Amino acid sequence: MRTLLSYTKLYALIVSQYIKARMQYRADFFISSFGILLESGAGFFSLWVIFHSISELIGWSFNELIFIYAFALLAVSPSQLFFDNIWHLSHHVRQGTFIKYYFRPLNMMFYYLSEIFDIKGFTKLALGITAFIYASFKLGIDWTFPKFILLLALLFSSSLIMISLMIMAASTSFWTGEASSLLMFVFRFGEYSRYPITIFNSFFKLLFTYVIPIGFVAFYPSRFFLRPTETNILAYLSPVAGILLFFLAYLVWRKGVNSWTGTGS
Amino acid sequence: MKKYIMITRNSFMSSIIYRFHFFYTSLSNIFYIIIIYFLWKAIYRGSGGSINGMTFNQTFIYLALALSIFCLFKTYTDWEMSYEVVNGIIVMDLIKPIDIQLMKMFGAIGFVFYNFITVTLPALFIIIFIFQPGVITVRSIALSIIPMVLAFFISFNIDYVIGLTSFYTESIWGISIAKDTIVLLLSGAVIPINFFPDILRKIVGFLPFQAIYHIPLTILISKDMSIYDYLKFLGIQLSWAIVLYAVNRLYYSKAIKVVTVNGG
Repeated sequence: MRTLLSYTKLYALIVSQYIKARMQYRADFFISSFGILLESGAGFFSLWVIFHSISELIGWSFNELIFIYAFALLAVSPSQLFFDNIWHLSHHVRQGTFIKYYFRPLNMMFYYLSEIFDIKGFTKLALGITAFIYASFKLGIDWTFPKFILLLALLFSSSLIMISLMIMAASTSFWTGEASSLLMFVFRFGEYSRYPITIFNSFFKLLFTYVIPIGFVAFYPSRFFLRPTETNILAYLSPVAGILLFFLAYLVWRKGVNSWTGTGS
Repeated sequence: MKKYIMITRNSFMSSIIYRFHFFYTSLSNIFYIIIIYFLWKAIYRGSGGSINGMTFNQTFIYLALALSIFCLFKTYTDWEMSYEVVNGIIVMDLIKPIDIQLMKMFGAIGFVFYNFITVTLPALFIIIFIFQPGVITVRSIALSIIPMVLAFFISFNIDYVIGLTSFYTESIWGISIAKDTIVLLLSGAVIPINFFPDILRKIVGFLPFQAIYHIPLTILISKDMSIYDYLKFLGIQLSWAIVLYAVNRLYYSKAIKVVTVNGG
């Protein structure tokens, strides 16, 4: 408990320094926020256009799809906010600058990830929250307190799934020296998770549920609120999947950190 | 001319060092193709076979090929220029007795060759052999060669505008992301333009983005394009190519006066 508290304090300290440094580039922040707003909002536009030609997508209405999309956005926001430094890992490994993280009496993964707090992730979060409220209002979802707690728990585990996959992808750079295209590949899972898994045939349904758990990022947890009667055991398994994956990701990271030989400079 | 061909060769050679890039980008594209296949299959379920005058096969091929074109034209010119401005390396380009716009373009062409071999060809193989579309003919492939070249030229010039903007702003992360999104959405690369509501389709008709994807793709998937329509399409592309090229010339002459380089 003591360590948790001191780590939280430390995190706040590092992040506040980072934000001060970033505020030098105020224009960059606003332009980037606008860019991210467009990028994350593009899917809403696509849905809106598609629903000019159809009235439902194999039984799913426009608002239900907005709900799933918003859930997916909320699930990927934490990885943008807190874990954005993962994108620079292969660069640090190649240049040898990663060596500095070995020299502090801190958890290395914590120290490495705390260095960047991506403020523009708030744009994604804000868009996600707005769309989520809009969709649940339109669908008339009755938010009771236990339901809300469940929502938070499911969002937490969805984020954990995305984060774990990205940490694993980035950690491969300890061995290969490059991970950006693999990381991009994994990052796009977040985009693929916006569609109902039921559109796929049985082979891909199994693949996206058990092998590459895209379904757990947004669809299975959202269905819990949209169609409570159609939900199966999978929605409850989502937190288990999240925690297990994160544990696995941490092991991969540790193995990578221990086997990295540095660049000699 | 010889010096520009050397630039093309160099940029090709320096891109082939990224071995893993080829593997994961192909994998990523296969996933994307699978997902749009099932997504649009679901959209077409319950419709009478054709929506907005396009059959499922046509829509699927249109979008899958749009992906191939997107990968083909992804040359990171804007990112490279911004990187060079931030680090000051841009002076090394500016002091050379070489036209910078042509230099960047020939560099981008080298990248396009690399993209063609590593990403576009595998994607085309998947589309043609696994999904077996019956909509592409030899005639339509032959007709689409010139529009594809013009499309590249337009796409490059849009990247170059953003690249020049870094002379003012240095960092262009946000602008580039916004540009990619706008180009993809309004060019018909994510949803065919035939699906757009009427007003939107009219607006998009006045923008240069549809000349990159919609025009070559429409030529590729239509079986009996009249020579009149074909020439009209070429005319639109050519006008955009000239306009954007002229704008960039003008923009460069302004931007070159403000660029500041620290060290280098």
